[in-house]
Amino acid sequence: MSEHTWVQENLNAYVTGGLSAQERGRGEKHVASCSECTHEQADICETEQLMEGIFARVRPDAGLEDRAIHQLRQARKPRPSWMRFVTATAAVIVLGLIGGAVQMFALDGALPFQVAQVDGGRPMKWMAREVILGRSGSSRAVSRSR
Amino acid sequence: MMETELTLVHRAQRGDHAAFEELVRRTSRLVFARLYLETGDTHQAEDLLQDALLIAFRTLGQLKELDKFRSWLLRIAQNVAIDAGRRLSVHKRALERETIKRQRHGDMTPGPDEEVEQEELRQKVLVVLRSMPEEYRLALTLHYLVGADHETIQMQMGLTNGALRGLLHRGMNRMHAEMHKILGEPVAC
Ligand SMILES: [Zn+2]
Repeated sequence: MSEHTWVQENLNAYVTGGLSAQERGRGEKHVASCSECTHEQADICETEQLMEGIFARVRPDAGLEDRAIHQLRQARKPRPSWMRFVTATAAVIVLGLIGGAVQMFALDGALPFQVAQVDGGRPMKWMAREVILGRSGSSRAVSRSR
Repeated sequence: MMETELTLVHRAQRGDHAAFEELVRRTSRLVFARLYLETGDTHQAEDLLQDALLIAFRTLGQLKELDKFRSWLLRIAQNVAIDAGRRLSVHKRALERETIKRQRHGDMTPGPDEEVEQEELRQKVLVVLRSMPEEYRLALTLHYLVGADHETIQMQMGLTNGALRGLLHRGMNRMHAEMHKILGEPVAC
């Protein structure tokens, strides 16, 4: 491979810092005596400066990895013990309530809460609305006229 | 001696947090580059990087081909970006952030006209980068957008010095040609 070809293939690596000190010297020596490579280098250099100018302000800083790792550590931290106590207590209460309801159902053979009765074929969504608003079946006209 | 990536993935799968953190150091900028290409916004790219890393941490056990860690992680990042795009128009948010940033920094940043010009140029370069062949798209993004040098790109992409030289030779030459189309003839520096 001629010096010229070698330099042409490695000019970009020269700019990105991928060459050893010895290789850099080899490249610089050739570029100094070759107008085509000089032109090429100027071209690469121009693109580099342009990119630097438009992206320098929006690039991630040196702390990117540290921030990422810090957040990962936060995410896998066990919850404080008082929080676990509150969660466990809440679970016991909920389970107790469910247990009580099931027991009532088993003893009475009926659901422990009132279920809306289907009334004159009225649409279910009206009934649901009335249940939510706490109105009886006959108050439909009133609620609509308001 | 640097531990191989395969060893790190294997250790991380067995619950070694330090090994996973080392993998994060070796791949965060690559994932960031991929997300920057998707979003065009540095803050959003970092937020999504965090999401992707957390998903990777929680689902690492599902990775079967341990030598495919990078492409697996990049796929997670891609999905995270797609989901985020659905939630909110990415470009709209990027523009909003740019405006806030400009207002916050006031005199520290270029004048509004210059900044608008730079933003337009950034978007044009992003379009060019997105159109590049997959083979060197990420290497170029790491270099130009993230500002990574040769050694950093090598580590982030898991490539040897020689392999990266080849990629950059082809990729950067193509990039120069595309930039000439945008800017006209080059000016010597
Ligand atoms: Zn030459």
